[in-house]
Amino acid sequence: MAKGLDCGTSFYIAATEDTIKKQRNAFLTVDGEVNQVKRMLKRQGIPFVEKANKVHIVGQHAFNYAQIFSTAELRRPMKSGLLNPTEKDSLPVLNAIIGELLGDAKDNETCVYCIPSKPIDVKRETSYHEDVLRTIIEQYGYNVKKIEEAVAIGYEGLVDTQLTGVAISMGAGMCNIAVMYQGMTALSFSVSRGGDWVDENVSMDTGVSKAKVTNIKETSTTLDLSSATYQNIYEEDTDEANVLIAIRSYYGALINYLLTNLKVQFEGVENVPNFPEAVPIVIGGGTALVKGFLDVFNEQFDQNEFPIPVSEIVLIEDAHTAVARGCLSEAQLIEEDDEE
Amino acid sequence: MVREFLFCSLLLWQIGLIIYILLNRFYGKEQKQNTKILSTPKVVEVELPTRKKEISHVDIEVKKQINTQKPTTSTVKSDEVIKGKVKTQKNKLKKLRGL
Repeated sequence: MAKGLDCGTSFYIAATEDTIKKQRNAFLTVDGEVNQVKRMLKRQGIPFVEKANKVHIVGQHAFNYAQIFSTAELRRPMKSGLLNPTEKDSLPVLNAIIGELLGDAKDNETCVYCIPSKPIDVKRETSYHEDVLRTIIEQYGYNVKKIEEAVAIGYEGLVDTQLTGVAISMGAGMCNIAVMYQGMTALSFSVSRGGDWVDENVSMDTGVSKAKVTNIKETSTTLDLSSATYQNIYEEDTDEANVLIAIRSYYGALINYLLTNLKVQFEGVENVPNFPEAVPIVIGGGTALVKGFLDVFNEQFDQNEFPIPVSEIVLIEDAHTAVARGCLSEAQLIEEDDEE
Repeated sequence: MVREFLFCSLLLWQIGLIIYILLNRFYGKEQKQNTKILSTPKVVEVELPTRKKEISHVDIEVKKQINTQKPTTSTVKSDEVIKGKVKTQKNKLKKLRGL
């Protein structure tokens, strides 16, 4: 059975034809005598990973602990879309997460995982990140292939326009962009700003911890970035309103940064196709899930400044799992091709 | 006696001078030529191969040894599992690729 794996900074998401599994990509190291800690965690049903006499709580439980205990340091195996070079304990955690999401392969199954495009605003290569993930997935017996994250979004959102248009994946660690023409990628790149960048800046501006800002962004029922709601909240002048206003302004800054860099990259690349007709911009990824996101995007978007005529700006259905589903489509087609 | 001595001396000087002039005439140029050859070597023209294209670096494939560090114990369970048919655009994609 073909599998698609979205290896995100915040979430790892696996998709098969009948199941979607999500795992928060975070962990927290528990101090204390190893066997005692393990017994305690087992009793409470809290998932953990043990390696080299260290016990790490993994996933949503780690995230929840970090909300409650402000002193607890939530650790992230990935940062800015790539493996976190400062996090020495991340590989056993990633290994366990991937193992749980994919399981062992049966009969030469194919797994397509996503990789980021080359970032334009940080000096980092993506090859080590790609190799580590490939090696881990191969350990579980899969026939492994990779596709660019934004291309996976294109496979979900641009099929009705012959795979022509702009695909944007807005993740926690970075945003990936691909300009596609007839299924081919004319231009792809990434910027190392995403949902985490919004959270960090909101936290610094408002004095609320980053973990709490992330939690508000993901769970708040009152968070709505659309302009009408924004005006109402502004009048309330509460602490929550301050956070929501800051979130809105940093979302605007993030989208502006993205569109400005897309324009600059587009102008600097040779042999970019001319689009005779207007093409859509399709957006996926967890950072685009917040209510009113498209309102902010439309506010920042200026057709006169943008190098391509745009017909519409669309948020893909179930944007959080769009990359994993794009990877799944590719894996299914590879398996069908192999069978023939 | 003195006159004889002067006569012989003059004769010998004349014979010596004539021999010097004759030797100088026949061998003097060759000696000069030899000296020239030794001091200024001839330029040898060699046709050098012309560079047809710019030489750039050659990349090599690195087989990295990656230690993925399997955990000693893992009780990780997925945070969220959504059961049901997963909607993809596989069929449209297949059609677009002409498969």
